[in-house]
Amino acid sequence: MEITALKDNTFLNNWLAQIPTKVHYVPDNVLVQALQYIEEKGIPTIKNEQYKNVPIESILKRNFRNLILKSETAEDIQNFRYPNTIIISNNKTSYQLKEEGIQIYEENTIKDIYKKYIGSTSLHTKDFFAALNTAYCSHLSIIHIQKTLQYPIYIHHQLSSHSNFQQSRILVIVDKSVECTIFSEISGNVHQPTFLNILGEVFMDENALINWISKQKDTSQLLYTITNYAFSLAGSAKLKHHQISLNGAMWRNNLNIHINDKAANAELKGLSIGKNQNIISQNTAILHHSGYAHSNQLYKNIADDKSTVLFNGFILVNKNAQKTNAYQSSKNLLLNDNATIFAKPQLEIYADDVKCSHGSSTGALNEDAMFYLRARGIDKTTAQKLLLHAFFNDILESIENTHIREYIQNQIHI
Amino acid sequence: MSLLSIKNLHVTVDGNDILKGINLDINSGEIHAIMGPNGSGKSTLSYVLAGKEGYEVTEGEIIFNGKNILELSPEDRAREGIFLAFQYPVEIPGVNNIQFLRTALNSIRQYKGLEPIEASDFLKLVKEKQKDLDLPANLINRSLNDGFSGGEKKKNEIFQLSVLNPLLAVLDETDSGLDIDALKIVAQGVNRYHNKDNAVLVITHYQRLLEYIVPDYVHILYKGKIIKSGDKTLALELEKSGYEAFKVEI
Repeated sequence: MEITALKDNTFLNNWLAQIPTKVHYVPDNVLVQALQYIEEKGIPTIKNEQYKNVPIESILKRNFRNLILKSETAEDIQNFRYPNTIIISNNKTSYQLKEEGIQIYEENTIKDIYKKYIGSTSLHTKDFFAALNTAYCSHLSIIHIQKTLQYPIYIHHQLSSHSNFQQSRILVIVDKSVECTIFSEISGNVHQPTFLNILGEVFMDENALINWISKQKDTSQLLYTITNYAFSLAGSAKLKHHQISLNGAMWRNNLNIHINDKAANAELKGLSIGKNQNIISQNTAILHHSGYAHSNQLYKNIADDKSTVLFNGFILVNKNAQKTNAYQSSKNLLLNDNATIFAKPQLEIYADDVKCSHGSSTGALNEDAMFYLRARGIDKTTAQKLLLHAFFNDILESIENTHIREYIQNQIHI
Repeated sequence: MSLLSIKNLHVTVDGNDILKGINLDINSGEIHAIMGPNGSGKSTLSYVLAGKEGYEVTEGEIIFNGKNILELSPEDRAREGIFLAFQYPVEIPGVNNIQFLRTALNSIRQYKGLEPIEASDFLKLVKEKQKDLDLPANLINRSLNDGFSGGEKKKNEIFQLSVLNPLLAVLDETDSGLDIDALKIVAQGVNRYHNKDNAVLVITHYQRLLEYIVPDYVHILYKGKIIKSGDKTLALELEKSGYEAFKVEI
């Protein structure tokens, strides 16, 4: 498929011209849709409602006028830390799997049966970067889980220190009644401003269960990341999702949950801790297409220094989705006068027999509690730490896997 | 030398004069009671001693154990040995009661140049004091004051007092909201803590608590000033005639 020249957007044109295009695995109709979206919408500006308060255009123009794209060498990738480890880089998927029942494919080994999944969650028609990934990401990792697993699967998005523009796309399929834990992490040493654009589509068959934990942290303050994930839940499928976003120049996560059949269950928990000039933007959309399902969201956000933390939570209940229970809550803590928090709940309900609620609260640390602790001899810094841990601990405690939970707890420095 | 010496203390809160020249000396081994009607400045005095923000000392000084404490942070005052039992203990969900107490104890020990307490010694100490105060183990292992009844919160304050063992205990209306059984247990806790090397300042509306924690001195606080001091019979007199009778003496 030829990439047609784009009108009226020199920066975007120049940009796209630098990216080699060899995307053969995406179905033609999906590719056309993605390219149309890119052409029509262009890079989102702050006038775009979805990117309001996230100056993505100026970040790109400031840091990524010229793209540097280099291939990884195989030696860079050998960090197999968990029994089931999958390491995804720009152009290669490496893995070591202790357990059976996990099939891995890449763009050049993809089987026809998987093609129908690609783009079927329509992320590429909702977000510029999802469209960009769909049309321009040459590397695809397919993870097909066919048996219930004893150990978690560790998906490591390995960053290259040589390329300043990196994309990866994953497709995860979990078979009927299969239960698994997936721990996704982005890490690596970056020495220059680096833009990472990840897209993931996850399909859960009937009665499947996933504990999905995504942890993001980058102390270099050079990494700008956008993720677009869609989870598609069949009947009685159960998703428990944790999004932990810590120090990093920018984390923008779009998380779409499609409740496609009866009695599916989605529990979303999030913890964002913004420091320095971090931008952390959590955007969730729970789409109840079918009834008798349950969704629950609890996001806790902390903004310190000059950081900006955003939570946009959208719940849609279609008219067929009777007997839906959908709850959402965001709790926000501002630690500094220079920090900013935006929290926006949004409900659209077209069915009449549902239970839905949303709530959001924003405030500073409780001064009475601070004084109480200090009046017992505990210094201000320790008192603040105790109260912060008290604020977010329930999010971490609900991570069932002890090893992952403790690993993440040790990554949090407040 | 007094353990606590308050001289001509003037305090404003939000621009309002609350304390208007308090003088008070407390020696080690003594129990003092301050009684006064609502709005007389009792709680302000306790907060000023503990170092709460928003209470501005415009005149006077507070010398504790030979040190001017007005420049000290709340935590350093606690480490010097001032303990305030709160009228309204704060509920802090997510902060474990026992871990909090251990952190507090070790902060105080560190300030004094002592090693952190051994885990086994700490548990022994906690068990002993918890038994004294009739506090169920599951309660003290919960989040700090979280979901505690009024009585349980006050008991927990005295439990902390007995574990931290400070030089001066300031009890801010510790009797409020207590039934008679809880009142006795709390008073026993305070009496068990009290010895010749420390002092207790009881702040209360009513004489009732003073039947169980018997003061050496009673002071009447009215409109920001101590208008009369005496021994424990003053509290009885006050109970009989009410604050009105003393106003005329000013």
